[in-house]
Amino acid sequence: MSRLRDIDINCAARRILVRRWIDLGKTSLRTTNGVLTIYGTLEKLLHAASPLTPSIVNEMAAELRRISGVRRLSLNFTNWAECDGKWNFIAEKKEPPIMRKELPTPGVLEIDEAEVPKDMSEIYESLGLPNPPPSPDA
Amino acid sequence: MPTILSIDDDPWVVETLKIALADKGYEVIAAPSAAEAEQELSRRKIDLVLLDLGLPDKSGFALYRDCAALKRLPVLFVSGCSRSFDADSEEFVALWTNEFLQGTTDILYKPFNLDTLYEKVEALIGDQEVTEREPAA
Repeated sequence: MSRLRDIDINCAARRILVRRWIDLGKTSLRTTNGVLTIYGTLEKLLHAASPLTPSIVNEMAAELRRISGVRRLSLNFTNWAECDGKWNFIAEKKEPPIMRKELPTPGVLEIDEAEVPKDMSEIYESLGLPNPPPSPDA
Repeated sequence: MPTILSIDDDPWVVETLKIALADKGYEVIAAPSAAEAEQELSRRKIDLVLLDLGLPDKSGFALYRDCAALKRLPVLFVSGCSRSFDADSEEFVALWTNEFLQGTTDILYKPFNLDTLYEKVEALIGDQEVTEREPAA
């Protein structure tokens, strides 16, 4: 399978996604020797006319499989899952806040500021601590 | 070596793209405005365009719509704002149902990791490292 053919498959796959108003920025795709892989979060563009439904995703998957030159299709979405050949929406997998395993000072837990959730109760629960009373400043 | 034109007025973004893509065997040239981009497109062979939306003299969408040379090339929009790709915008919908539907345009949201950048570039123009390893036909 030539590299050019794989790029043509990518192009055909993008057309199929665009026809369904899928946000290309939230997915990635690649084809290697006719094996087409699409992954990421499968969502329509902001303000697209109708929501993504299981029947649309099933139809889209079938169309992707039919692209000329596709030997195998691998779809791996964070928010849709295939079960018994049918696609269904699933709640997006939520990653826990990232915590540094190597502690600079014994007993001190450093948390990546970018990952700190607005609701700190999650952190307290993960540490097995009771939630503190609300701050008087809050 | 494939040549990538980065149309972006942020020198930090351009420098990052240059270094990252040079590692993968691509040459990146920069155009900080739509006018300079059109000049580069007219005088060089470009294999891929990385296009920012917020240019000083024209929006990325307007450049994409108006520049004939751009329509013939794979384009990767590099944007920090997913809300710009809005199906309520007539300008964007016109692009989506015409240019995007050709299948040679993709979107990369900032901040991005390099693996995603490489994946999207390679999906549009091919893996340069693999190409160089392939024997001549």
